[in-house]
Amino acid sequence: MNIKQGFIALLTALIFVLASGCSFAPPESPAPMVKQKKEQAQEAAQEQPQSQESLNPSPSIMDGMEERKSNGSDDMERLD
Amino acid sequence: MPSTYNKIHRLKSQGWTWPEFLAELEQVAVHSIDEKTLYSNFRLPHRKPNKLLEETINQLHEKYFPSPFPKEVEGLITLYNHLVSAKNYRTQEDDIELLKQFVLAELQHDNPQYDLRYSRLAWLAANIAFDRISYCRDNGLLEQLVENQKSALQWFQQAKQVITHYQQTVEIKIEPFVIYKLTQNMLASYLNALPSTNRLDNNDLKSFIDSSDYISETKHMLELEPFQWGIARNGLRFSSLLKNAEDCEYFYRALVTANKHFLDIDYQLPGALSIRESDDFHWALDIIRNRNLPVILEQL
Repeated sequence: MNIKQGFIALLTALIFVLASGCSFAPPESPAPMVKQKKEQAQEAAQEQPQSQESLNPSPSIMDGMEERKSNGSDDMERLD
Repeated sequence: MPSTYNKIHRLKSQGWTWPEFLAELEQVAVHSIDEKTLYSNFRLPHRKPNKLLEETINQLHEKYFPSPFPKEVEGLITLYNHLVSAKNYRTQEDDIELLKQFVLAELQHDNPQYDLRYSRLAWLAANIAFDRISYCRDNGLLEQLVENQKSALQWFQQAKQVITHYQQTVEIKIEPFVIYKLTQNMLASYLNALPSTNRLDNNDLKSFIDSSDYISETKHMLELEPFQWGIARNGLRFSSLLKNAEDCEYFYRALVTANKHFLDIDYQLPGALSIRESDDFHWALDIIRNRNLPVILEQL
């Protein structure tokens, strides 16, 4: 996979994640959404034993930020 | 990216009255925003804005202070910021690496055009390296630390040179704050590479501050935008680390001018330690206390 293909794959994955997060039910139909959430929770509970290892986040570059602050290390944030 | 607090102040400093400000908001807001919410976010730097206010202020700010950079690269920076701050994102590191490879490939074309698109991509490449510095420092990854610091400094510098050259060639007006942000990011690349115990009187910091004219640029920025508490706080930080008593007083006064809450040395904002808690401010704290500055400034 070359860099551009890889980047397109990354964009697609992100769009999918964002689209999943933005999905909603219309205000007049709250019941299906509750049902959907229950189903999702049940599915997640069922899937947990198999996927527990993969759900653990890999050590992230942003991890430890809070710990750093509690140790008195006051890093500067970048400006965009 | 400036906070909502800074954006509200920047918009207000155009001379709008509160009714005028609210009328401007009405034109872009999906739902109306009440004066109380707007005013409390204007007064309190620690106030977390609600989603509606944040989005509306962002739109209004973009209308009056548009970014000089192409929208597609701004979008890429937003994408990266979401990516790097995502929690429990299993392939985060790999995806950041993919994005980095794409950005570097764009920057290393055979015939790059040194324009605002290029400079913003260089800025993004620098951001990606910069965000790894603290992690490498805390995990003893010395080789990677040096590599990321070098890369961040190189790309921030490249972005700065291209913007400076571009605005001279094309005669486009770029706000001084844009260039200042790059200078501050370079300084941050030096600072964050050091554990807090090694920052006082550090030679790398000293020589960069001297060569970049950081202190006088910071004072100039605060004359233009006195509400920028973050800039005043960093001015105070480096005056403290370089043990310059007069500059410590100058920047503490600037910090209190930016917001009176900083009269309290325990005042804490989300994402930052209070002055009393942070090691970087210990030297300045003695000056502030010995000169009785909180008491004097409260009476003004």
